[in-house]
Amino acid sequence: MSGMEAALAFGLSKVVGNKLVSLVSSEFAAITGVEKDLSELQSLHADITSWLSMLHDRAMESDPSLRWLIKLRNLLNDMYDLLDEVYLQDEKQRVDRDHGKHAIAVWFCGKPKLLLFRWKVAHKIKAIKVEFDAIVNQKSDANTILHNLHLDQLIQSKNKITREPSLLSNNKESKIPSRDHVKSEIILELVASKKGEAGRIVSIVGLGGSGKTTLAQQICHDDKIKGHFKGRIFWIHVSQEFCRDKLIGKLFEAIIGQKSDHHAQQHMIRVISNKLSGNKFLLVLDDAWHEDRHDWENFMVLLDNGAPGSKILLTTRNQSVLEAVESKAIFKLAYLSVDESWSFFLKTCGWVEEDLSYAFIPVGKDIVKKCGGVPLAIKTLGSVLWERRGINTWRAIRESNLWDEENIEARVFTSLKLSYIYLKDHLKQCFTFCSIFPKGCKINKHYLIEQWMAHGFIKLKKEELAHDIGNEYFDSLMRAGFLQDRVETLPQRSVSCKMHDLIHDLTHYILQNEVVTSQPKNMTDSSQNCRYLSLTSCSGNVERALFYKVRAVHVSGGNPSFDNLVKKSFYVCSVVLDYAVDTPFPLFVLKLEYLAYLEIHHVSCPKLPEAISVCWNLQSLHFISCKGCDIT
Amino acid sequence: MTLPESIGKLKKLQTLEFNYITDLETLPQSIGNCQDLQSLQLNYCEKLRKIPSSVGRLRKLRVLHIIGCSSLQQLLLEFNGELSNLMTVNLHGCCGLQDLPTTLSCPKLRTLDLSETKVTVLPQWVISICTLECLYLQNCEELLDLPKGIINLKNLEVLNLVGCSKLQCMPSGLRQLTRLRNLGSFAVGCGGDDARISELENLDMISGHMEITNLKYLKDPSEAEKAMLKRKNIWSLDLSWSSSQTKEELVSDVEQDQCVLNALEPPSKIMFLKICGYRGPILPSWMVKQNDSSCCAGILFKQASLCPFFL
Repeated sequence: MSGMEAALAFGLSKVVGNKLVSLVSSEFAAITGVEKDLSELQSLHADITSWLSMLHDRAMESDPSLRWLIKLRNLLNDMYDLLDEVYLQDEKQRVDRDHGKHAIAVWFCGKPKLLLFRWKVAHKIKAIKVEFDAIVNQKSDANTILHNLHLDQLIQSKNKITREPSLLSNNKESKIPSRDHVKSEIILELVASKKGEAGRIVSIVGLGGSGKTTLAQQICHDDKIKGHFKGRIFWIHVSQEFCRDKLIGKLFEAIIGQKSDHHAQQHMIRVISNKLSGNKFLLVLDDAWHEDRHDWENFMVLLDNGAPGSKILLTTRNQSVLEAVESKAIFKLAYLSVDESWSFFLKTCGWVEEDLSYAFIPVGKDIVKKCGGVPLAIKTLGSVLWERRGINTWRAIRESNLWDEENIEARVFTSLKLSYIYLKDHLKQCFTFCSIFPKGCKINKHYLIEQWMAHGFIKLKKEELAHDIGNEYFDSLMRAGFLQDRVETLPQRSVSCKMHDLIHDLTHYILQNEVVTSQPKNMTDSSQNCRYLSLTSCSGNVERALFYKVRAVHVSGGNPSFDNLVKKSFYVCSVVLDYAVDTPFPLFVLKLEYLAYLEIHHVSCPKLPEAISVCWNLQSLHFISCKGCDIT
Repeated sequence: MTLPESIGKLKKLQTLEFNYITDLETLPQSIGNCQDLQSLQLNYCEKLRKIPSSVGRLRKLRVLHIIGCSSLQQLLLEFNGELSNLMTVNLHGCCGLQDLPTTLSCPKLRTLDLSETKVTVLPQWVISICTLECLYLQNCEELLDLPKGIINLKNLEVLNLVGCSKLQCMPSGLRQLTRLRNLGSFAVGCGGDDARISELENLDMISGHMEITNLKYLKDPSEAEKAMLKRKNIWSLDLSWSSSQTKEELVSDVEQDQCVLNALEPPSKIMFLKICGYRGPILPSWMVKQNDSSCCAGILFKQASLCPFFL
C-alpha cells in the first residue's frame, strides 16, 4: 500500500505547493500578518517535497517500512485544509471589498475577527510542524533513501519517437487480430436464424479489462450487423445493481431516445413493447452481474415481442450470470498470448518494434508479459511507458515487487496501480476525484473540469484560461486510459466519457476511507476522514460527523437528507444532486458558504431562494430538468 | 422557476446553465452584475421569452448558448457595449426566433449557430466579424438572402446552408472563401450578380453532404464542369433541377440537362446520390462507371419521368 500512499502524497503535495505560492504573495497575507506563518509553512512544504521526490524511485515498492507515509499524507491533507481556509478568507474579503468599494486598509479597521483568524492560523501551523517533526523522528530510513539515490538516465532510443499514440483515436478496427476472429464468429451467431429460444442470448464472458465491451461496440458498428438489424441496435449498461425499474427506464431511453423521468412505468412498458413488436432487434446488455434467474426472467419478458431473429448480446465477468439467463451461445475471451500482447502494446503506443532501441525491447516484453494478456492492463501501462522513456524507469517498473501476485486479477490491478504511480503529479488529484462518480456513470467533460476548478486542482499559467488547462488534463487522462469512451453530443457539442469499472475500483483503493459511498452503520474515527461523499439511491439522515471533512458531495437517485448539518462553514466545494424524481430545493446547500460548484437535477421550486447569494464563492451553477411547483 | 435578483451578488460566477427548465421565462436584470460570467447556457427552456439587456454588460462572456428555446422570438433589439471575449453564440433550434439584434459588437466571435431558426436576413454586424469560422444556417427555412459582404469573411470554414429552401442564389465572389470545408448547399442563381457554379472550382476542401439546387438556370455545361465536383471530398450529393421546395413545371432542354449532368461528375467514392427533375434521355457515362463501384450505396431518381431508363 505504501507505494500508493507515496503517489497520492505527490499529487497532494503539488496542489498544496500551488496554493502556497499564490497565497504568500497576496495582499491579504501581508495585511493580516499571516504572511510569516505562511512562509514557514512553505519551507516545511519544501522539505516534504524533497523527501517525496527522493522516494520517487522506491515509490512503487510495497514496503512496510514506509508506513509513515500514511501519516505524511494526512499531514498534507491538514495543510491543504488550512490553506483553503486562508484562501477563502482572502477571497471573501476581496469580494466584500469590491462590493463596498473600501480601500483594503480601511476595511480592516475594526475587524478584530481577523486578529482571531491570524491567531488560529498560527496555531494550526504550529500543530502541523509538531506533527511533521514527529514523523521525521519516527522514520529512520529517510537518510538511507537519501544516500541510495540512483539517477534515471534517459537513454535515447534509436529512432526519434514522435508519433502520437493512437489511444485517443476512436478507432473502430481492432488492434488484436485474434479478436477479429471471435468477432466474426459472434456476428455469425447473431445473424443466424435458429428456431426457438436456443440462440437468442449470445454472451461474451471474460475478466475485467479483457475487452468485452470494446468487442461488443465493434460488433454493433459492423456493417453486416447494422444491415441485418436495420439499425435497430440498442445498448444498455446494466451494472452491478440490478433493479427492474431502472432497467425499464434505461431500456426506454435506449429504444425511444427520450428521458425516462416523466413517464409512468406502465406507459414505458407499453411503448417499449409497441416499438419492439414485430421488429427484429439487437439489444446489448453490457456488464451484467446479477445471478438471480427469477429477476432475469421478469426482465426478459419485456423483450418477448420482437420478431424471430431478435438477439440479445450480453457481456459479463461472471459465468453464473450465463446460467441465470440460460445463454447457450457463449464466447469466452481468451487472454492474449505473449506475442499478441507485445504487438498490441506497440500498436497502442503507435510504435513499431524498430522504433525502440535494443535495451528497451526485452524490458518492455517482460512488463507486457506481467500484464497477463489483459488488454486494459497493457493499454494503461503502455501509456506510462510511452511517456516515460528512461530505461531505468522501465526497469524499475519491471522489477517492482507489486507484481508478486499469484492470481491474474490481482496482477491486472497491479498494472493499473503502477500506471497511477507514474501518472503526472498534477493529474493525480484530478484522477482520484473521479472516484465520486458512480460506476458506469457518464461524466460530462465540462462539468468535470469545473469541479476540478472548484477544488483548486488546476494550476493556472499566465494568460491561460483554467478551462483550456482543464481540457489538457482531460485529454491526458483519456490518453492514459483512465477515462474512456469519449462521446460528443450535438447540438451543444458537449463531450462526455466513462471510467472503466476496474479503474473506478482503483480510485477507491487509492483513497481508502477518504471516499465514502454509503452511510456507515457505525461512525468510526476513520469515517470522519471522508472527503468525497457519493451516495447512490440512499435516503435517511446523513450524520454530521461524516460530514466533518467532506469537500465534495455527489448524490444520484434517492433523497438523503442533510438537515442535521447545523454548522455553517463546512468546506464543501462541490455538490452534485442528481435526483431521479422531482424534489424540493435542498436548503442545506445554503449552509455551504464556500460552495463553488453546484449542479442540480430535478428540483422543483417556484423560485430559487434569495439566500443563494450566501454561497458567495459559487463559480458554476447548473440546473437541469427543474420546474416550479406542480400546484398551479 | 424564477431566479432571484440576488443572483447578481454572486461575483465569482463563471458558468450559469439552465437546461430543460420548462417554466423559466427570463433572467433577472441583475445578471449583468456577475462580471466574471464566462458561459451562459439556457437550453430547451420552452417558455423562455426574453433575455435581459444587461447581458450586454457581461464583458468576460465567452459562450452564449440558447438552444431549443421555442418561445424566444427575439434576442434583444440591441446589445450595448462590447462583448469582446465572446467566442460562441449558439441559437440552434430556437424555432420562433426571427429577429437578431441590430447591433452587436463581438469582435472575437468564431462560431455562430443560427440553424433551425426563423431568421430572414443576416444583420450587418455578422459580416463585420472577420474572425468568424463557423456559420451554421441549416434549415433556416425563412432565410431569403445572404448579404454580399459574406465573401469578406475569409476565415469561414463552415457555411452550412442545407435546407435553406428560400435561398435562391449565392453571392458572387464565393470563390474567395478558400478555407470553406462545409457548404452544404449551392443554389444556382439566375441574376447577373449571383455566384456561378464555376466558383466552386477552387473550393476543394468542401466535404460531406452537398446539395445543388436550381440547376434549371444553368445554361452552360462548361461551367458545371469547372465546378470540379469530382475533386471534392463529397460522399453524399443531391442534384436538383428545381429549387428544393417548389414543384413547378420545368421547361427545359433535355439535351442541355444531359450535358449538365454529365459535367457534374461526383467523386468516385460517393455513397449517396439523389437526382431530382432531371429530364435528359440517358444516364451520363460516369454513372455507368459508378454502378460498378461498390461504394455507390443508393441512387435515387425523382421526377425523372422522361428518362427512358426509368419508365
